[in-house]
Amino acid sequence: MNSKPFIYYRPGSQAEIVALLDELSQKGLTYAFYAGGTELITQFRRGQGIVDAVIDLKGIESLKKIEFFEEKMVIGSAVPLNHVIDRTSIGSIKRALEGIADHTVRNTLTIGGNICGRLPYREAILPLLCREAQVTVLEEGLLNVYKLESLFDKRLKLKANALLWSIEVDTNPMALEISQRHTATTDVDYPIIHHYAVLDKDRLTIALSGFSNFPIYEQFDFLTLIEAEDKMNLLMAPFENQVKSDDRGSAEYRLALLNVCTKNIIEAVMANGGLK
Amino acid sequence: MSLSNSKYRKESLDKVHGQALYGNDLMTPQMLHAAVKTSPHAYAKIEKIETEKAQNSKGVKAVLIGTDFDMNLGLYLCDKPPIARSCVKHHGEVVALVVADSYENACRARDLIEVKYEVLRPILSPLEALQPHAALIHPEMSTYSHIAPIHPEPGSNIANRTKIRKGDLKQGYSQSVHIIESQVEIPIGDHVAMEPRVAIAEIKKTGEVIMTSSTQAPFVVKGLMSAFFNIEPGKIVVKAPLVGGGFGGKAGIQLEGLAYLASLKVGGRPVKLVNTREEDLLTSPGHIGLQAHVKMGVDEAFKLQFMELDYYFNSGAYADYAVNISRAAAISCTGPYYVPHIRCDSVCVYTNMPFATAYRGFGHIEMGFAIERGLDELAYRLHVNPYELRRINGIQKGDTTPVQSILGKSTGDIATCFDEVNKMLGGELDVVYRVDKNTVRAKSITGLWKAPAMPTNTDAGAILTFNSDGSCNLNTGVVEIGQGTKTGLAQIASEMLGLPFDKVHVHMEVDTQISPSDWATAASRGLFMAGNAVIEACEDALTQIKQTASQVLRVPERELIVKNERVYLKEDETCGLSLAEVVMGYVYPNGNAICGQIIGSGRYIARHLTDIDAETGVGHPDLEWTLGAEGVEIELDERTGQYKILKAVCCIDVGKVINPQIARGQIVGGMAMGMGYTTMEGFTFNERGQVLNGVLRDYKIMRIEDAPQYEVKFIETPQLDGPFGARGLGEQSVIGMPGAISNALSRATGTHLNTIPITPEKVLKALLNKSNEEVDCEF
Repeated sequence: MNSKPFIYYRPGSQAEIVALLDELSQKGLTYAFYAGGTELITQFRRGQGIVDAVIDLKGIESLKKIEFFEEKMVIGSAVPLNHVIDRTSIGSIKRALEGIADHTVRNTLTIGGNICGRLPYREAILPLLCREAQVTVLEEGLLNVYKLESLFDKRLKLKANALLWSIEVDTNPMALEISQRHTATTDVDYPIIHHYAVLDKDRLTIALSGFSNFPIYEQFDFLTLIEAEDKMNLLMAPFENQVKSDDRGSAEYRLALLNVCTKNIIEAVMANGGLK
Repeated sequence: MSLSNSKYRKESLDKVHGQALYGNDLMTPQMLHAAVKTSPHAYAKIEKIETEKAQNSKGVKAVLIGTDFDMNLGLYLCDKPPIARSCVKHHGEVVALVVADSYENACRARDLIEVKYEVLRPILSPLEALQPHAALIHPEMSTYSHIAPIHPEPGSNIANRTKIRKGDLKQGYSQSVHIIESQVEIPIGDHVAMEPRVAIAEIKKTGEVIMTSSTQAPFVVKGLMSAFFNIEPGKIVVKAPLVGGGFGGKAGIQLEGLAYLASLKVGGRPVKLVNTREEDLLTSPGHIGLQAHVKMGVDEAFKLQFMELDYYFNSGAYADYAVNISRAAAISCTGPYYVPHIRCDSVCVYTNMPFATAYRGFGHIEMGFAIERGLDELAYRLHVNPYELRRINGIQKGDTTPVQSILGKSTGDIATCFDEVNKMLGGELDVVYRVDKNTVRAKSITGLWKAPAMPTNTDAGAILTFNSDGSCNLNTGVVEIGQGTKTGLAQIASEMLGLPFDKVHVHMEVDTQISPSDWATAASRGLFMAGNAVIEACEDALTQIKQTASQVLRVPERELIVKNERVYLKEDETCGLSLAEVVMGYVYPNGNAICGQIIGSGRYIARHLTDIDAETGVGHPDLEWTLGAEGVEIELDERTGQYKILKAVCCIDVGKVINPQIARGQIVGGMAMGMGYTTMEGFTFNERGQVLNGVLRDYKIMRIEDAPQYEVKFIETPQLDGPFGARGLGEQSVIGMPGAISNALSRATGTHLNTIPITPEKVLKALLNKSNEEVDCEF
């Protein structure tokens, strides 16, 4: 249990949070953003993640909204995963997010928290990477838009005192989109491999969580794949040397599962979009 | 009237409305709060504890450390200091306790305590602990007091050895034409009851000690508190409110001793000590582990001729219930099969792991896994259907058990249980079906039996009082831990008294000063024993009702019957009185009153039980045996090792079903628990003996999504000394599951999956090893 008191803030607007972040950084106070609280509370219980201040993001309306535009969905970073699951029409995104924690936890666990949190899985980022999402980041008082992949390296690389504001993702159906998630035993657990693949036009993108110490992804040229003699090797080679071993599964077992996932993708590619 | 009906549980509405109160719900303004500091090491000398900063921290009333107390506590073997004194023996052991005015302040001070350890190399398995030069975890064992039925071996790490010697082993070997050997292993783990343990202690100025505890055994707590702390038994009051699941984990003495010592230190003020989930997993005891080696032989007709059994139970750092678990496993060591020649050594071994207490199945689940794996290995090698093999060997009336007591007229019908399980699974239990290129299906069958392991003088009692509308109040010492026994007891009272079920009110809390003595709500004996006491209490009340009525009606008592809330003359219903007119004493029209209120009392004590002989195990410790069979059908993906349990079935001879839904719930619950135990549970350790999965994020238990289709059948061969013929059914269905799952998967893969938990990774590894080494088809 966290036995150190902290200051609680609940800013109500973009302007207020900008001012607050300035103030905290001037005073040299450490802080944590609080949206769903699922990770903070478990950290505090273990006496970890101790900070001077906690900034509750739930007072800022635009962070809690999902908006639909033509072919696009804009998700505020403090939207709980279950709200995204309820409102997206893309089956694979639904399935990918449904693998995270359990239903009760997903009622509060937010998409921003899942992506920016300390845990190494960050499964919500898999479909976003594969669908080439854009992210809006509050930094130095401004909302700047970036391609997700340009900020992503093992985790979302944000500047000091920056906040993930919203995520914009394409809502068009893709030629192929498959989420394959494996756990050590029961489903409600971290993945030992979550294999997410999207085929769009001339490109196959594969993103993995739980396989390595952080999410990893790779893009493959479609024609090269079709022509490759050893398709398995082509699709597995970039990942194989990044495999980890931990209490949930050995590297050998993860590789065996990667093999199965990859076979399924090749079968699906060849059967579905493959020879168009 | 209400027997064999699925009445709602008496506590259901309180539970669904959030009005049910548990131990931790109790708050008073005077209450102080305790927090414990625990050891991060599995085995270490305590060199120094610095408590000064904690003493001076805000709100702190007292800081307790091990050297404050020189006594040991222990259920059967006094081996545990209330707080580690000079040495910690497992990860999570308590090294200090802080009492403060709030839990937050207690935690804050706790974090200021500094402990300096000299870390030692831990012993992490029973077989390692039994090595000739293994360090002694309890070098002072010879000074520990213990109960007579257990046999510690000072100078070793053995806390108990129970021996079974039956028949002539040489003859068993010579009559066997097929012999197999097999080894199995089960890790220690936890019950993961929904409610973490809590104890509140207050010592009044009169010397009276008032305890509230999440306990399955308030009378055990009372007895042990009296013995350990030299308190007059009449001055200890233990209250057990509703308990949020026990599964054996709350059947001994846990936090009560510490809470009492904490209260003593602060002048008797009430002190609440409640576990966090993490403390409940590591600091309080969990379930026992096992390494076993079994050898068995059959003759040409596949009849078992002998078994040689070595059970090495992993007790962890302290003995608690573990010594008696190893004894219970010896008493039932062959599983529900008749075996003429037996040698069994069932040993309880100390290691530097979190210690073990009772767990659903109490030695039978572990023993059952070893036996059922062995039997399936025989079946596989001999190309005999596993159902047939069990049908041939199932124990029957007239057979002798491993302790050589003769199974009497009340013996359940295990042959029919095997038949029903075979039928429910669609037969062909020796066939592996190929579903498609990557998927196969396989089935399995196991037998199970269990007798309560308990003192020979185990008792129960019941008190019935009445209300002015003729309804009654039932008070027993059985704790409601989610099993529904109080509802079953109310159904028995309703049946006996001819009262509607709704007019039998149940006193939910147990208070050792108010409730009649009842050994413990454990060992699946609640309905059996308290049920017999309720029957006697009802008979007593009926006699009194008739006495009163006979005076008013001027007829002999023997000509009266009680039915439909009336007492009346057998041949003339109009000559009678309502119970409302009788139960609080009859009042004549002129105001005269007679007889007074009806108070029924009933009691029960186990009959004819004896301890077992230290050298041969001969004796009669087994009050009643519940027999049954189980099986599963699994579907395996050979590429990943992942499998799904499609169907789990159980047929069990319970004597008499008092409440079908509650009975089914107990059976299905036990099967589910057994599935979690077999497929995913168990602590993992690093080489320093630290638990790696001591939080529920990492310690996985079964979820509803993992549940298969269940099918449950009951057989009713009456238990002649049970209430309406009923016998115990609370734990039994957990017992066959490890064997059933491992047998089905072993058959599906053609390998031996003998180590729990059987994870998909282990299954795949077994499959790959098999194809790499091109192992012969013999398993």
